[in-house]
Order: sequence, then structure tokens, then C-alpha cells
Amino acid sequence: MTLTNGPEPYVPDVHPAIKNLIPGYLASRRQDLAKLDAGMANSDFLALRKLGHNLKGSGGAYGLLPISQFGAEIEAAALASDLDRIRAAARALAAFLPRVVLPD
Amino acid sequence: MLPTLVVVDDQPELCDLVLAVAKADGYDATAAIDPIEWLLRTEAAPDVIILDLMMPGMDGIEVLRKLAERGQKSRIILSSAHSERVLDSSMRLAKALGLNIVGRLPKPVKPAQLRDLLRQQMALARPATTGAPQPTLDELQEAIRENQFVIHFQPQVAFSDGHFVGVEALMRWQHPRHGLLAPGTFVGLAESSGLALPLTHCAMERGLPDCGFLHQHGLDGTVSFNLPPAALNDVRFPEEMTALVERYQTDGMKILFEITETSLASDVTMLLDILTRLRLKGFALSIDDFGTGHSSLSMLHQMPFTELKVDLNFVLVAEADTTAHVIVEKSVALGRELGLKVVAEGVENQLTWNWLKDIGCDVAQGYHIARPMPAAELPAWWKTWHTRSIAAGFTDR
Repeated sequence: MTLTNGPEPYVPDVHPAIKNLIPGYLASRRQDLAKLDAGMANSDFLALRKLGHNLKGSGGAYGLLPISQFGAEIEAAALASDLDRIRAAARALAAFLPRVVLPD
Repeated sequence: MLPTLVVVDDQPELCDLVLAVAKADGYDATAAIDPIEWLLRTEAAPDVIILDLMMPGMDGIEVLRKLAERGQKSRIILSSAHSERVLDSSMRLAKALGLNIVGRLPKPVKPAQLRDLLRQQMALARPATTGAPQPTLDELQEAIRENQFVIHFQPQVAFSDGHFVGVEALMRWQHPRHGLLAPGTFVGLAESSGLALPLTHCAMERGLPDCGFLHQHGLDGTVSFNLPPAALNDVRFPEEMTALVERYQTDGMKILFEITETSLASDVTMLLDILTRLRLKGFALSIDDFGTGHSSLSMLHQMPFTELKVDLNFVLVAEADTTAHVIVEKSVALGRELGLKVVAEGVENQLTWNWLKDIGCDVAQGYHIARPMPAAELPAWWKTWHTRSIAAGFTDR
């Protein structure tokens, strides 16, 4: 991926003490994408809601507020059993993750 | 020894984050992903617990209940991605359970907010780890016999033009070994051991002689003393207080008793008897911590109060908490409509001052005006305050 031609990079504004934790956090979120797919395939709205809730509660803490926003959308959509909304938010999350660039 | 912290949260990422920030700030911090397992294995109470409300298996409310059953004394910070109202009601529940709730951490957690909370708790945790003073009943009885107490006075001023309104008398114990102790270290012991009334007598005997001193320095106004619930169950109390006040030259000072809402939950007939007779004998009465009890309106309706004191905890958070903001505004309006003097505690900055003044609050008390101090320091404080309020337009925009 070349950043010049690709989507705009996202550099999180992050507390120095947790900067080193971001790669691990992002790796877990990539695993969440698979869990979201599985949840949607099984219409497991309880699992989807929990995934959304956890994303909502954690993203902003790592300086990644969009992840909290996608999580809030997934949680709300799961509560409404709305697979289309969940799918859209999951796609947005998948598109966002590669944009994250760690601060120097 | 480092202060200890446990974060109880089923999200490993949140635990990692809290641990990183806490360790950077000098905590001995550990995480518990599974609250049930943590409750089973933990014995020593950590100084600070950060508890998530929504966890599978056992939610945060159930954990709070278990901690209350154990008489847990840790300082607890509640965390949740749910709405502010859910956090607020959880905090109220935890306080009702007797737990020591010191803060809340809405998710997504802001590391800077977390760090600020942890630093506040660090300051408090240090004495605990080095052995916080825990006076014994024998020591308290001896302190009452010898009246080892001193009074610090926190000034109250008018929002209208900053003039001096009075002081609240706040008790400190000059402990022979531990030094100056705040009321939080001994009032609970006094109340649970039937010593609350003798303690009130000590406070009055220490505070009343200073009335003459204040009068000599032109600081005429109200001196407020806090009354324990025990005072409201003793029909002799008004006569005892009258006799006590007559022994001292209180000159131009008016004596006011502050009664917390929660202590009004007793026999209404007895309350009416005691409070009415206190008024007849010339004392003023304030309903303290207004909004925190369960009988505010009924008590305001029935009892002869002269003043309403808005609870400190609402004022302190009103800037960020919409619900608290509305409660303060409505409490001030209610007090004024009922013809009561309305006092706000917790005035700690100019923004709060301006807001409370704008909504019609009468009297301000808080660190923005002054911290509690010995009577001897009040004239110097007044000189500074008066000069500052005139010169800088501090009190009157």
C-alpha cells in the first residue's frame, strides 16, 4: 500500500504510556473482523452487540475514536437486529484499520 | 511500598491500557479479566479498584454488592461504556451500599482523565499504605474528656457583592500522636459509639469563644455548626445549646445549626419539637446536603428551616454533568421561592461563581473564596478578599 495514492493515514493522538500497546490492540481488532463476519453469518446479535460494545469502549482510549464510533454503530444495529447496518460499520472498520499509522 | 490498584474489566485491551498508565504513575497494578475468579482469590483490599460495569458472568453491580458484603474499604472508580445516567445511578447504588466511590471513568477511557484520577488517588493512597491514623474508642473518649479538638472556619460570602456572611465551623482533632485529624477519621466512630452529642458539645465549646474575636474584627455574621442525627432524638438539646451559648459572648454572631437531610429520617413529631424550639430560642437552621436525602420536599414543607444548602457533590460536577446542573438550578430556585437563604458549597472557580450568581444563589462557600482556617487567620483573609473583590471586580462582574 502506498500512502500517497491510498486513503489518508490516521495517526492516533496517544498517551505516551500506551503507545507501545497500539500494535497489539490493532491486531486484536483485525481478529474482531473475522468475529464480526462469523456473527453476521450466524445472525448472532448477542455476540455482535458485545463486539460492538467492546469496540465502543476501547477505541478512543487508544486515540482511535473512529473505532469507538464504528463500535457504537455495531452495538446499536445489533440491538435492532439490523444486519445491513452492522455490515456497513464492519466494512468501515476494515477500511479504517490499515490507515492507522503509529506516531513517532 | 507502592499503592496497589486492580482493574476489573473483561476487556484485555482496557486492562492493558489501565495497567500501562497506572504503572507509569507508580502503582503496583494488576488486572482481573474474570471478576468471579478475582473475588475468590483476592484477600487483601487494594488501595484502588477500577471496576467495569458490564462484564459477562458477573456484572459490575453484582461485584459491588459482593465488595459491600466484605466491607471493602478500597477507593473504587466505576467505568462503563453505558450512558452517563447508568454510571450515575451505579455510583449512587455503590454509595448506598457503603462503598467508597471516588470517581467514574466513562468509556472510551481518556488516558489523560484516567491519569488525573489515578494521581488524585495516589495522593490519598500514600497515607493508607503507610498506616492511616485510625483512632481508637479509648482515644476518642479521652479526646472528648480533654477536648483535644480545634475549630477551623470556612468563610461564606454573598454572591451579590462579596460581603462577609458568616463561617462554617469545621472540627479537627489535635491528636497527641497523629497530629491534626480531619473529621472523616473520627466522626463515624463517634456516631457508632454514642459519642456524637458529646463531640458536638466539644465543637461548640471550642468554636463559640471565637465569636467574640470575629466580632472584634468586624466579621459579624452567622456561625454554622453541624448537628449529628443524635441531636434530633434528644428533647433536651435546645436547652443545652441555649445554656452553652449563654456562657460565651457571641456578640453580633448568629448561631446556625446545619442538619443533613439523611439525619431527618426519624420521628417527625420529635423533629418538629426540637427544631421549632431551636428556632424559638434564636438559632437559625439549615437543611444541609440538600438533594441527597429521600425526604427533601416533605421536610422543607414541615420544618422551620431558614437556609437551604445545596449539596457540594452536585455543585462540584455541575459543569460536566447535565443532571447535576439541573438539580442545582432547581434547588436554588426552590429555596428562593420558599424564602430561604440559599448557600452553595463547592464554589471552587470563577466559572462556578459566575453561574451560581447568575441563577440567583445567595451565598458562596468553597476553595475559590477560602479554605477552612483557624479564627486568627480570618481577619487577614477578609482583608485580602475584600481588596481583591473590589480591585479586580472579582465578585461583581
